[in-house]
Amino acid sequence: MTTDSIRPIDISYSLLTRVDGSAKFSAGNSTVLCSVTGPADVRIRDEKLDKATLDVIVRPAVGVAATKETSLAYILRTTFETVILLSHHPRTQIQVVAQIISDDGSIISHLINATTMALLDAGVPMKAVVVGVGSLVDDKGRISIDPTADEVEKAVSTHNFAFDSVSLAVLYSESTGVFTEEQVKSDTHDLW
Amino acid sequence: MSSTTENNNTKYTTENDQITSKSDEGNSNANKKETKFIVDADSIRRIQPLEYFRHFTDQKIRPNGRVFNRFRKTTLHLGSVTTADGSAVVRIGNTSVVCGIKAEVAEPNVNTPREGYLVPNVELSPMCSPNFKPGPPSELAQVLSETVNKLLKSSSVLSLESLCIEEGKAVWVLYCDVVCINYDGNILDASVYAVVSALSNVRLPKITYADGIVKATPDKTIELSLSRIPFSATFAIFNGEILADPDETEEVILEERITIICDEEGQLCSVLKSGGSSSTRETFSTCLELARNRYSVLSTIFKEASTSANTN
Repeated sequence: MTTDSIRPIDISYSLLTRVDGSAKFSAGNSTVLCSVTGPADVRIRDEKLDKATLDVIVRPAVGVAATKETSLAYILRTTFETVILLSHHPRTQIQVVAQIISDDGSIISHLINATTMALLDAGVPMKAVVVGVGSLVDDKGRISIDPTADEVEKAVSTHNFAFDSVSLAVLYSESTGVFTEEQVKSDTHDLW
Repeated sequence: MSSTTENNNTKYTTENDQITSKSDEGNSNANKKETKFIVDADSIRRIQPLEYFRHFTDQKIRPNGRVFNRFRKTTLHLGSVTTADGSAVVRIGNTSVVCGIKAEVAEPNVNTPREGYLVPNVELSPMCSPNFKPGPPSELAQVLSETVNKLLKSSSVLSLESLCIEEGKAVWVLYCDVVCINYDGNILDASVYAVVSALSNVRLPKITYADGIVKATPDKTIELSLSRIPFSATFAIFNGEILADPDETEEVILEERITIICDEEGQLCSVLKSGGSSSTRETFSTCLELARNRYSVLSTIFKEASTSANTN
């Protein structure tokens, strides 16, 4: 039932020289470049007394950032806030900038992967390594992972997950479309 | 050494909510008086909100007096905004939102000449909570609008082709504006409930298209045909415990959340989970069951509201 082949992955580290860590993550034609700066100065407005502030900016491949990018940034922030040991650097800011270079499906999972790589490159202390994966169920009920944009277009439902490497629990999941309980369970079962 | 503090009708009595310390200073003073520093429950709540919360959950209750799987009282009124083509007022506890739907005629996109537009927008103004600042829509407002948009589009609640008036010439645009009046958590459930209910309440005029002119009859009678009626249920997860319908105070301390949106046939339209990893597969199954129960409650309220809106 499951097509478990993912597109070829290519990762390069430290491409950018003026930031603390960076990584480029590509899977097939989806490419994301991500940079991490921090712990650095924080704006007084965003300062937290007991932990670092995580700021995530997602930039689209074309055009200016809109609601969709804000939404992606929100997902990244809520996912990584629980994994990064923010309390190690109170009253500072860790800034993540993720630039989408080309979007050919499963972009949120690649954003998550690129961010993890960049955070590792920057040496930011984390509880676990986060890995994201996209998947879909097509009209014949088949599950395939790491779908392309064309496949997503025809999908009945899409499911994106992020797992934490230590507990292997689901950190983030988002399922849209129309699907059944069994589908989402078997989908997570294959991956979880 | 115990204290009792009234808090939302819940008696909170524990040994730990007092920190007493003796003052060693002033021994030169003739009258050696003990100075007590008493930290009451309310101060603990401010200093250590999570610890305060844990004291309650250990007793299987929440500080707001609800048991874990209890949702707040929910009400729905349809069609109370007479200037809109469809409207819904939703209250979930102290959270209240109004959704008004305004229909306009526009030219369709060249790539999709038969599809109309559905434009949801959620507004969180400083009126509903001091946490929201005036100005451009906040991150939360944008995320909410995007979530509602994704739900309506990906689970095809309303076929966009049904909004077509004349192919390539004229289609309906439905602006679904959700305004939050009072913010006390769980805004996503309220917004989804309001948008879906308001869509069901939309009455459009009969339209005729001839030679580039769109004519509408004065009476509005045509209902939208919704392919499914999805309602949402949100749960906060705290150490593996499922807390249904978190209010604002709970949202601030509990970051892990699961939202399940299902339709009348029990099919799932959206499952969202964010902000932590303490939940297991069992948690998910329990949430699903609770979401189904919640659906039937919301469905009953929805049916009652529809009948009373139709009789008026």
